[in-house]
Amino acid sequence: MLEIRELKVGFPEQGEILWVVKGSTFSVTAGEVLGIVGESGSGKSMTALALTGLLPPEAIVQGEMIYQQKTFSFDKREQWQKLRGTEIGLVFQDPASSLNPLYPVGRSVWEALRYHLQYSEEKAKKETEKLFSALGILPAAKRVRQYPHQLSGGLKQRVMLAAAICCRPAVLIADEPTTALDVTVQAQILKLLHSYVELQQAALVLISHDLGVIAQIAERVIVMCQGVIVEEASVYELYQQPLHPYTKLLLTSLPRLDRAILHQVPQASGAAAADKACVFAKRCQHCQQQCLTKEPVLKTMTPGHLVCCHFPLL
Amino acid sequence: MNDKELKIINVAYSYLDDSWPLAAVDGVSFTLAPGSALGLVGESGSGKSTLGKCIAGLLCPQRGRIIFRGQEITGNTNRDIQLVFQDSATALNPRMKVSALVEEGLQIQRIGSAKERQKAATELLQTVGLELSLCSRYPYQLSGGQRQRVALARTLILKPQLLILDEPVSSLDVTAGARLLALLHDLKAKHHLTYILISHDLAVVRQLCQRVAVMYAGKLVEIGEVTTVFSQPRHYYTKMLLASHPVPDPRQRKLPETNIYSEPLDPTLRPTGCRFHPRCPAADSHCRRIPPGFKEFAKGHYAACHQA
Amino acid sequence: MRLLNNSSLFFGFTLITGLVMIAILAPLLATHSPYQTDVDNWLQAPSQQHLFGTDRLGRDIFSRVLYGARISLTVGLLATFLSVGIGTLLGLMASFYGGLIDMLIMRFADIVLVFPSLLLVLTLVAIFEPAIWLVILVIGCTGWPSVARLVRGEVLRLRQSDFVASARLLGATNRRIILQHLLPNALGPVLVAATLCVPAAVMTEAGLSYLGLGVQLPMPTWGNMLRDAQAYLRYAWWYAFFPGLFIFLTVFSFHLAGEGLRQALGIDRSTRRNKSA
Repeated sequence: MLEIRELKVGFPEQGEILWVVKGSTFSVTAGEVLGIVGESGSGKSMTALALTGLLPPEAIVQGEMIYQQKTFSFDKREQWQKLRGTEIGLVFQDPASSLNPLYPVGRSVWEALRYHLQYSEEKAKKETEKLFSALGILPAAKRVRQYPHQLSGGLKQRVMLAAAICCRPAVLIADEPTTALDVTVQAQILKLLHSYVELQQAALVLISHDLGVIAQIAERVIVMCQGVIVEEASVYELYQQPLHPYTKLLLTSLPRLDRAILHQVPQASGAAAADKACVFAKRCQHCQQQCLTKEPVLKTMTPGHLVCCHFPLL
Repeated sequence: MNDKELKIINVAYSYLDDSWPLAAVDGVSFTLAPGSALGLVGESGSGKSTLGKCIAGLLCPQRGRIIFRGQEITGNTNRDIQLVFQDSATALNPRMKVSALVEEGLQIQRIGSAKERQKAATELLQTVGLELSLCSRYPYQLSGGQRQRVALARTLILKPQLLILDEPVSSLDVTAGARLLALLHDLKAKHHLTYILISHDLAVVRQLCQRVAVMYAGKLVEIGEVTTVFSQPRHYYTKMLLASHPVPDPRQRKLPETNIYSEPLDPTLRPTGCRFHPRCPAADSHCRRIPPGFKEFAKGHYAACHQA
Repeated sequence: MRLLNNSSLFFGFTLITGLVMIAILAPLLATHSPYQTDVDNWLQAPSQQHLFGTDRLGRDIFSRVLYGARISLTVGLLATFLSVGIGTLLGLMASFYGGLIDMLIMRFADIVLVFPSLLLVLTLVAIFEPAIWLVILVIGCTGWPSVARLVRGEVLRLRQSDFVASARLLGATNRRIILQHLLPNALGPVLVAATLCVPAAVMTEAGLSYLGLGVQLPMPTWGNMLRDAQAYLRYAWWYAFFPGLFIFLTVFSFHLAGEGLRQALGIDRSTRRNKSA
C-alpha cells in the first residue's frame, strides 16, 4: 500500500551533510499496524516528518515513496504533499501545541473537511460533531465549540485524532501519540487508533520509544538506531527472539511490572569506530573487529525477519 | 519512635488558584521505615509531586505534620532530606559548571577546605558513573542521563538519609533509564538511603521499591507491599492503573474493553464521596456520598474503597 | 565565539568601538582646537581645510564633533550605569522580598516613569547651574524603572525554577540564592536593556542640550551643536548634518548591538531547550 524506498534525511552542518536517516526501506499494507521503535536520535521522528512533508526547509530528503502504484520522489515535495490530509493523516506527540488556542477545537476538523472534501459549512460541522461523539469527545455538540485550554490532554489528543481521520485517510502516521498522556488515557487512545485501522482497513505507522505501547497494537516492528533500521520482524518474533543486540538491550532495559530487571546495562565501550562501523558497535557487548571496520547490511534471516548485524543472536 | 524514619500525619496542601483554594494533597498519612523505599504513584494531578515537595520542605502544608527521625520538620528544609527533580534540565543552574554544581552543598554548609570539597565532588562523580572530564562542562552540554546523574551527585554530597526522587527516569531513554535505576539501587544499599520514588510508571516503582502508595485526586487510596498490591489490587483505581499498563509482550495484549470514554481526573474538581466514583465501574450511591475509610486487607496492605 | 557569528551584533559592536576610539583619540584626530574661533571664516562649507565645514564663529565642526563624542558617550554610558545599577538593585529587592517592599518600590517606579524628566531638569537647573553631572544624574535617575521592572519579572520567573529550590534544599541562604543563582541568570536581559539604554541617554542628552538645559557652550556636545545650527539650517546644511549624523550612528550602533545580543542570547536559550528535549 505504502512503500518507502531508500529514504534519507540529512541536515547541512558546517559544509557537510549530517544524515539522520541513512536509507530506510520499508512498507506497510492495508489494515496493518507498523511500529517504529528507537531511542532519541534514532531518526524515527525524522522519518515521520519526512513521510508527512513537515521537515524543516533546510533538510535534505532523498528517496522515493510508492503509494497506490504511483511513485513520488521525496525531493519533489509539492508532488505528494497534496496527499497529506486526504490520503495520509497525522497524529502528533504534543496535542497542546498542535491546536490553535484562538480557535474552537472543532474548527481544525471542519476546516479540513471543507478544504479537502469540499463540504458545505453546515455539513462539515455536523460531520465534526458525529466524529467527536464517535471518538468519545462528549458531549460532542458542546465540545466542538470549546477552546483547547478547556480540554484535558486526553481530549485534545482525541481532537487531533479526529482531525487526522476526518477525511478517512488510508494511511495514518502517529508520532508518539500517547507519550504526553497518562496510562489510562494512553490505553484509550491506542484502542481508538486500533479500531480505526480495523474499521477502515487503513495502514497505521506508529512511532514510539515505548516498547510496551508497540507491543499492544503493532503487527510488524522496525527497530531504528542512529538513523539505520537494525531489525524488522513480526511483533511476536521480535519480542520472543530479538536477533539484533540493540533490540535485545532495549527489551531487557525496559522496567517490567512482573519482575525486577535490575542489572548492569553495559556502558559505551568507547572503542574507536571507523566511518564504516556498525552504528551500534560502540555500545555492543558482542562487538568484534569486523563490526568496527565494515558496515553490516540488512539481511533476511527467516521469512519476514530482517536484521542488520554481522553476528545476529541466534 | 526510632523504627520510623519518616512519619506523615494528615498532610494537606492547597494551591491558591485565583483565590480559589485547590486541594492538591488532601489529608495523607503514612510512615516510612529507615532504609526502605516507597513508591508514590498516580496520574498527573494526583498530588504526588506536591506531597514530595511538602516532605522536602519546599512547600509548607496548611494542615498536618511531618516528623523526621522523631523531630517535627513541617515546612522546613532539612539537609538530610533531598529531592531529585523531575526535569534535570531546569534543576541545574545553567550558569554553573558541573564541578561547582556538585560542590555547592559543601560550600553552603562550609564543610572542608576547597581542596577537600573538590576531592569529595570528584569521588562522588565517579560513584554516580560520570567521567571527570565532564567537570568543566555546563549542564546544557550534557546528555539527559548525564544531567540526571549530576543532579543526583549534587544532592548526595551532603550525605542525606532520605532521597525523594521525582520521576527520575521519565525523561530518559530506555537504556539510560535502566542504567540510572541500577545506579539508584546500588546507591541505596551502599549509603543506607531511604527512598520515596514518585512515578507515574508502575514498572519503575516495581524495580526499586518494597512498598507502594497509590494517590488519586490528593488522597491516598491504597498502600502496601509492592508484590501484594500489584498481584492483588484492592482499590478499583489501582486495578485500572495496572490494567492500563502496557506490558511489553505482544502475547499479553489487553486493550481496554469497557470504559474507554471515561474522562481522566479533572484537577479542578473534587467529587464528593469517594473521589474516584465518576470513573469507577463498581460505584454505587454509597460511593457517591460517603468518603471511604481505610480497611486492612493483609499486614500493611490498606485500601480506601467501599467495594473492595 | 557564537557571538561573533551574529552579524548585527558584530557590526553594532564594531561601530561602537569606532565611536569610542574617536572619543578617546579626539585630541590626536582633531585638525583644529574645538574652541578656536575664526570669525573671518564663519559658515564655511566642508573643504580640505575644514572637513565638516565651520560654524557661526568659524570653529571647525569636525573637531567639535570629535570632542562632542567624548561628552555624549560619557553621558550615555555613565547615565546607563547609574540607571542599570539602581534598577537592578531595586528590581532584585522588590522581587525577592515581595509584599509591601515590592509594592512600595514598584509604585515608586511608576511615579518616576510618569514624571516628565524635562520638568525635573527645569527644576534642578533653576536650583543649580546647568552642568554635565546634573544631566547624567537626571538621566540616570529617571531611566531605572524599566530596568527594575525587567529584573523583577526575570527574578520572579527564576525564583520558581527547580534549581533555586534545589539550592534551598542544600541550605543556601537568601544572599547566596540572589547572588549565585538569580542574578547571573537575570543578567542576559539586563545587558540587552542596558545596550538600549545608552542610545536613549544620548538622545536625552542631545534633547536637553538642544533646549539649552544640558551641557553648556562652548563645551561641544552633539545636542548643543544642533541647537547652535538651528538658525542656519537654510544656509549651512553641514552645520546640523554632521552632529546629527553622529547621533544617528551612535543610536543605530547601540540598537544594532542590543538586537544582536538579544538574538544571540535568545538563540542560546532555545538551543539549550532543544538539547534537553
